[in-house]
Amino acid sequence: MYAYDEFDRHLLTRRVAEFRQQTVRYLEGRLSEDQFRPLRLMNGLYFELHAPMLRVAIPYGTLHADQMRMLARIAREYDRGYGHFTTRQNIQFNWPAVEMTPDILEDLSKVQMHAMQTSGNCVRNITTDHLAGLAADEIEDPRPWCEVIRQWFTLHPEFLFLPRKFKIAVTGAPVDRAATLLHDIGVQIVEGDNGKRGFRILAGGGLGRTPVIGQVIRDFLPREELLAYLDAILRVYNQLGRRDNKHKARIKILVRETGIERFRDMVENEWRHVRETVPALDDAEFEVIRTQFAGPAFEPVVDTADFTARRLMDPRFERWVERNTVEHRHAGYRAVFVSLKAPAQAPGDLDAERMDAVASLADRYSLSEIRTTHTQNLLLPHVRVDELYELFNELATLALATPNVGELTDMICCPGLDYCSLANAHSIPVAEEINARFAAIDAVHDVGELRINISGCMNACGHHHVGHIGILGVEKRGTEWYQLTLGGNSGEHAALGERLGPAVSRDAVADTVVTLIQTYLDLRTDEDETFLLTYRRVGIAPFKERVYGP
Amino acid sequence: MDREGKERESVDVDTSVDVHELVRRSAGAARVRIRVPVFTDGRVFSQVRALVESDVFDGVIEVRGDLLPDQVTLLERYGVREVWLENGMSKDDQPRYLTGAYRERRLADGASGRTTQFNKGVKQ
Repeated sequence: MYAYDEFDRHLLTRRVAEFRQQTVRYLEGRLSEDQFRPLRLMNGLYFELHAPMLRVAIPYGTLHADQMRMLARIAREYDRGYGHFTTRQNIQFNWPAVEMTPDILEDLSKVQMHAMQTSGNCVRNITTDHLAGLAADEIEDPRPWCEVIRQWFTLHPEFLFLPRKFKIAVTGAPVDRAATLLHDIGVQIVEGDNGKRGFRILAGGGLGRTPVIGQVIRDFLPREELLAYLDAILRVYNQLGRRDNKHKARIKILVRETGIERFRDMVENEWRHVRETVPALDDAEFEVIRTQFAGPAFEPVVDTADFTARRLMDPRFERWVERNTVEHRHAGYRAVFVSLKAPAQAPGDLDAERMDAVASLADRYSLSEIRTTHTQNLLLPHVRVDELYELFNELATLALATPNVGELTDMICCPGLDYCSLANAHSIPVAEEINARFAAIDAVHDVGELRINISGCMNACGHHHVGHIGILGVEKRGTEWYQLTLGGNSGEHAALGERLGPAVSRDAVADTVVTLIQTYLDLRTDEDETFLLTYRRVGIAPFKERVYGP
Repeated sequence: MDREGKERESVDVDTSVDVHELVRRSAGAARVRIRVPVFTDGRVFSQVRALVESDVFDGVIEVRGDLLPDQVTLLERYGVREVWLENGMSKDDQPRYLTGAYRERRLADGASGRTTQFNKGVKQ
């Protein structure tokens, strides 16, 4: 894991001091709300429906156990005892007092954490594959590149007042688990014709009100040019992105309006200028960062006999292993998902006591490392298979072993109208109602892989466009209605969902989902054909007919 | 006046001028004055950077308009010293906590063999 040096620590200390002063100026009336807004947002602080909300960065979704303990402490001392893990691998606290936020940031800095650029019209937290560094199919660990990008764009003076927020994701594997097609810039590590590694760069993707799949802007970029090229894209965007309408200010609109060819020409032209002043990244400089992400010391051989026997003897354990663990590139280890989607739990929420418990489990079973995932779960990345059974039982005691990862109750859900000032409709209660319908875990297991994403408004924080079943809450004449989409996908063959038909009322959402799933079960060729595959084979018509009638 | 005794002109622009157009218009000028209509308009930072990095302009950059004291620090990181806040705020209302970040460290380190304008020193 990346460890701060003296420079990092000094920067963070100064940043906290700066924000403390800015907060004092706001509270004393020397900064208006409009003036304070971009300054607080750049430090993760929102003013939400009921209270402020603080979004804390978890760079590339990697946490040390001690950092998780600090999050627990903050939840207890400054909030209401819990936090909410987000789809961009961060964590949000929903009830901090404004005047206390500098203290929170100071506490975070003690464990090398911060809230810098987790919001605002700047380059946000760099996200990546939650299996980075351990996936068997990986070309290269993307996290060192995330750190390189993070450092470059942290407080980069040119790009702190962009037209709109700017999100970058990096993947190091051919199977895209970082949704790079759905980011303002997607960076894919690839091997060129000569076997040399570089990057495929995508631009103009994103969800929100206008969902767009990103397009390739450069098929192969030499490694040393990464920062200069990203600078060039951002400079073009900073100059030409619309500032007159926030709903048309994202880079995806600029790319769409200029066309990818012309946009590419502008970026390439800018790159020729920028690369004269942005130092190329040399191997020695990169190596300093890369070595900090070198894998931990794994045991060369792990006895798997007991693991195999346990799987045969205990069907609960077998199901959990099947659903909530994945292969690790080192034989004898697996990565373990900690499901934050137990029935009756708000998706992505975790209380302070269980944060501490997860930290202890990470120390004991996963070399003190924890990951956060795009699907609002946690991951213990390096667990010996002969310790899995013990870990399973401990997680089960904490209600963190629901064997539903990738299944329909593993829903992605924004805070919705329960917390968010932008929301038009509730989303958490909708997730709870769907959960209640599928309370019998066997029924869920029979359905297999199915992703349900719920957003409480057009801003799409629940990524409903890429849910296999997407649910969007809208408000019509004071009443909540829900539009459903089918066939979305954020991974390989990324696609935006197709609208099913007219919106349904709040009390009909769960029934509609049941109908869709029953339709799938009736139509699938066999148990291996997932919901998404069935949808792609038969199209939307049979689903529409079952929901709305012929 | 320049070395040949010719009057060097000032160039007045707002933030809507493209950076390359700005550099062309600023060639040989003694001063470029950029007006910022609203503090959320970050185009000024691209303009300033382009001027600082250009080989054809070595005059004074002046930025004025609706700016926050907090943004003065960002402009100073590009070497701009003449910043005028025309919204009643004081430049000194916010101490200069962050006079540099990772970007400046890389540039100062001369991370590659490439010669950079920054290695030659910044302009005022």
